[in-house]
Amino acid sequence: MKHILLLVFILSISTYTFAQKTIQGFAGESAKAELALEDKFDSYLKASNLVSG
Amino acid sequence: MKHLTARPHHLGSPMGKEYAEWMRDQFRSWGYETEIETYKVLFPTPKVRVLEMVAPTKYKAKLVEPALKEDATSGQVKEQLPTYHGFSADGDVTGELVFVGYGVPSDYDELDKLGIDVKGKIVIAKYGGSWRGIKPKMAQEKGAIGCIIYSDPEDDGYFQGDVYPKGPFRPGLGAQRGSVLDLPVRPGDPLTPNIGATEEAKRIERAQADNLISIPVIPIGYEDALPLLRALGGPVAPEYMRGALPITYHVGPGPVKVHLNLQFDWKLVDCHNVIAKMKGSELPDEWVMRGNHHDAWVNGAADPVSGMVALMEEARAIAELTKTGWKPKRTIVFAGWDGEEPGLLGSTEWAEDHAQELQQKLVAYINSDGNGRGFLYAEGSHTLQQMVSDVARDVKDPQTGVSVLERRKSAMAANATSAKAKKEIINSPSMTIGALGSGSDYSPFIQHLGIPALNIGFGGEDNGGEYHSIYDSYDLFKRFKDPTFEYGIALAKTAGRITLRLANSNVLPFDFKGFYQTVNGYVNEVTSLVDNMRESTEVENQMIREDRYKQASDPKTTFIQPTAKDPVPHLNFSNLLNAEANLEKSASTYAELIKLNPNPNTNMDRLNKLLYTAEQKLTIAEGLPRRPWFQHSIYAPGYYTGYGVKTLPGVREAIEQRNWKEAQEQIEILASNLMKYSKQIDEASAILKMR
Ligand SMILES: [Zn+2]
Repeated sequence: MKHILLLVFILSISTYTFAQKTIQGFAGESAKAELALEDKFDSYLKASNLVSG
Repeated sequence: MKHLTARPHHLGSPMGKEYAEWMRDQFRSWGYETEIETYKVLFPTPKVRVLEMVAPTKYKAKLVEPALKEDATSGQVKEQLPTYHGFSADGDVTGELVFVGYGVPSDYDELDKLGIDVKGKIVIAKYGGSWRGIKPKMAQEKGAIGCIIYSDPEDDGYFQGDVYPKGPFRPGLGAQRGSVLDLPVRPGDPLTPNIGATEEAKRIERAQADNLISIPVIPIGYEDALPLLRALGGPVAPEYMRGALPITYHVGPGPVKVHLNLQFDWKLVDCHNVIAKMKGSELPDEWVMRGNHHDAWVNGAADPVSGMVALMEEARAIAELTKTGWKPKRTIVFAGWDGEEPGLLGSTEWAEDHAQELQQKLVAYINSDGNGRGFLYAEGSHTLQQMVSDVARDVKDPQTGVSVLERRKSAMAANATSAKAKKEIINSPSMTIGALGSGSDYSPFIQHLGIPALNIGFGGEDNGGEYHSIYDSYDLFKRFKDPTFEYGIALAKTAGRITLRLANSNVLPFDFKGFYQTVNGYVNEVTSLVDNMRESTEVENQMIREDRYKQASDPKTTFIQPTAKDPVPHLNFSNLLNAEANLEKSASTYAELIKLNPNPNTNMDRLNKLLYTAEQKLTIAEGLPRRPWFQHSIYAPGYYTGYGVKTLPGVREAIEQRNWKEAQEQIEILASNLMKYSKQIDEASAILKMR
């Protein structure tokens, strides 16, 4: 449970920073969605897969 | 990495095929439409390797890298390719030895001054100073009959740090394998220029191939080089040519005489490219491609598996994203190339085979190769510079917690030599990227087809001497390269974000202003190059006329006076400068319009296609002089530097070679390309104005 609360907290911080970021090729809502997608992508990456692969 | 480095897996080996099939199955299991596309390419491996000193004493070179008990895979002798150079010529030659330093053009100028000619001789050059293939190419041009390239301890041996297994540097018999195919002329299968090397492709004779050298060449370690260099006579080598061996370096020729006998099997082998596709949901005919090679010289932990496993993890994570309901707008294509090491064979044959389709559909190609620990490096099309910088801002450096952008900026500022340069780097919100030369699989995409490309990775804190040896192993990587694989993850994050942004963006993130600024810098360089050459030619010729060099030299040593050079004429840059001004206007207009209207909704397909095919306007249909395969007028590897890039290559190299007529012709070609390029940007702007 603690972990979930922490996650929500982190996500809300990062959503806050999204609003101030510009990224080439995206504007407004689509920029926010793209950055959220990329954060999700990051969270799937595992070093252990690089070691074993 | 454990799996993909467990056994040697060079092009044409059983393990190379097995690993390709394993990768294919992995991609398939994640939901990618995956095939192995196989080509038949020329790949010589040695039948005979003999190098021996026959005078004044005898020494037979060992030419073997010893297995180490500290390195689990180093003893897989039966499957290891021996130490050799891919695409060396066959030859059985005996001759006097000459030490030529790095063996690049300026070394031969120095030897000329000493009155030393290499005609009919065998040269020994040290690694470094240029791409290895330049050394036998220069030796051959100068009339040498054979070439030896050795790793001086100063380059990546004990001078740099402890040698393997105590440290990561090259032990005495460690030798750097590698290709000596004439890559600056043409990478890819020597027998099938410009077409894919399919089974039924029409092949030329080996003697007709324009990228094969004609003298035998072999790499050796410093333990094998030492007896030869120690016995050399003749003048003492100029200081800059010397290395870190415990001897006085002489240039020869003689009294050392060596016998070099190299014979190869010149066979065709299967080259297995793994191609995995995820279809785009909205724009399936626009592709974003991400590649790394999978073949190695031996086990290849750093080169290439460190980059390959990062790429596969990106592919797996992107597949995971699709489980949440998301789909990429554009098609994403992952590639695992075979045959990169012998000369970008897999990627070049595939790109030649699919040329038309790629020029229609491919938005950009993102390459990586070996990945280490340290700082982000990025090279490529300058239209993508701002996007790379944005991504670098959004990826955290695993060791320091700052962004990989800031860490890179800090390293660059720390190494900058002037206060002004430091200030500029620190105060800039973004980073600049380098230009692409050659040396990995981006070449066919950008330089042959004019497709925007990037090459990225991390490094700078993982130095070693394992490159292309049996010691580039999992054991060494784990101890000295990226022990926790956190930079492998940083690469996956960086390349993954670049891929995702290109695949998802509404309007493709090309920035023409950054491109203009970069080209402007290159044009300034070549115009001042001409002016500097004019001034120095005048002074040099005066020095020669007035015997100044002779007066400055030691009368007790041989000194050959250099010959006077033709004066440097004034070239006409006006069309190029006008084209530049035009480009600036077009780039700024587009930048303003897209800022005002970042989400246009009419004619999007047309707009995006104009953006990603603009780079093709920079190509020259007949190619660069003496190397028609290279078609990009902004970026090419140097004819005499190899991996090192020459920007505005047609113009710059003609000037450097003092070919003034060709320089003027190339200036006009470049100007006309930039005009066509600007026109295409204007067409994109016209769409944005329509809204
Ligand atoms: Zn590589």
